[in-house]
Amino acid sequence: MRRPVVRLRICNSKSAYQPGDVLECECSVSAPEEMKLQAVETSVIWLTEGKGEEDLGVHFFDRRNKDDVRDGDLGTMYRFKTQLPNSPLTYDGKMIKVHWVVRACVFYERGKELRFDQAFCLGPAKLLETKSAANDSSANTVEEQRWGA
Amino acid sequence: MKYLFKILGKKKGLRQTGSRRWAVAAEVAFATALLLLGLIALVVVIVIQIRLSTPEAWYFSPLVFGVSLVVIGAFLAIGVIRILAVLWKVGASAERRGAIVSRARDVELLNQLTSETQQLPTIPQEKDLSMRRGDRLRFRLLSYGSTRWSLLTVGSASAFCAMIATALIVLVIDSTVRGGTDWIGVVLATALTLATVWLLVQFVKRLLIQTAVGPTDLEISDLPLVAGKAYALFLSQPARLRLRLLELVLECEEQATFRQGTDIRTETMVVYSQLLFRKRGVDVEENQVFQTAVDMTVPPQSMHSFRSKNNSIQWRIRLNATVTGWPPIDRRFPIVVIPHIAARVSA
Repeated sequence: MRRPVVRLRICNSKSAYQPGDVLECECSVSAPEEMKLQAVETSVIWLTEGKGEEDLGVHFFDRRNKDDVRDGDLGTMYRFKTQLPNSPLTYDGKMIKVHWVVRACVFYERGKELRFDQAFCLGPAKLLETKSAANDSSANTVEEQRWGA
Repeated sequence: MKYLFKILGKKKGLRQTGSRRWAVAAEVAFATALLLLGLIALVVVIVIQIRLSTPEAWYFSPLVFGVSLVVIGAFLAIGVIRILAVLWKVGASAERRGAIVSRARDVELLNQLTSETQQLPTIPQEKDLSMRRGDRLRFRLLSYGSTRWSLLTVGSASAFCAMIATALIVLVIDSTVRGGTDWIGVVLATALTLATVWLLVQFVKRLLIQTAVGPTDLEISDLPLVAGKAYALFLSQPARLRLRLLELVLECEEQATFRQGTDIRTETMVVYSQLLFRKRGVDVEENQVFQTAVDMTVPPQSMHSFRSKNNSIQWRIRLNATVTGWPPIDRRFPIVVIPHIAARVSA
């Protein structure tokens, strides 16, 4: 059985976005007629990955049902844009990673679902190098101390 | 000679004739003794009623049993209340106690912070900021830590062991008096008595360290913190014992919660640690406080505080202190870090 082809593209693509930037995307679906698409969902989400259970937060969400579009054609090009939030920033930590993705979910008959992700960076935040306590010369010296009652 | 209690001595300067340290120690010892006495008496009375008494015995009377329970209850209540009162008195400064009592003005302060941080999804907000208005700097951070919980845990465990050990001892004595020695009971009673003594020593050590080192006051120039910006800290630490080491560390910790079979586990890892201040050998005289100003810069481009259902990234300032022969002191002051750009956008 042929699979639907989903074109999910970030129009103003760049290596990293900053909070407040506008993210513009377009999405189109080509599916054989016998697949009978029911709905297409597009969203901009962050999700965690790593040792803990996966968490997910939705920043932007839109669902187009077959009945909502002209001629019931869900395959036509669909554009959307959203202003990115202040947080969370993309993060690649030791136990926790935070990713941002544009996601398209295609639903067709009998409840089947296909998912397509396009990742992008917000921020991102760096994993820092730990400063060794023993060798750290930048620590405050004790000359500043004073005694008080 | 000046520390000897003077019955007729005129109090010059201070409202006390002796050392505050000894007064606290004596109060704690007295309250602990009352509590233990009450617990042991409770077990003895219950065991006697269940195992040893006969309906003809005078102590089987409900009146005697009721009166003994009331007396024992009074011992327990006085012991617990006195220990809690001492902890309350020495565990927090007068200013902090006052601040806790008058929360009204803090609500106003928190509302101000709410408006600043409401545009920051997944970043912990006002209810997570443990702080009050400061004296020298803008905010005073409040610590959360395992000190009191460990004190409570060890205290409860020692009380529980003491009760069971007493019951076993009474039963062993009873069986010996009746002619046969219950050797399994003897072994169990001995083991539990040793465990009780060890737990009591740990409890008293923790109690004394809590009362001897005193509360930590840590003030900060601003909140929430912005990655890349510099801040001022002011540390006040009374110490009735000589601190071998005192240090302040800025830490970032990742915390992940996951399922393993039917268990839910939480794992933590400190991913960033920066020494802010360190001093070896802090010796503070009676009624004096060690104070120092410390500069701190939150690393630029560092990850902000983050919290979701199963994952979190927490920033904190951690005070570590060691006293020779005592358990280490570990106090943690949670802070919230927001991204630099978020601060600009929300401004």
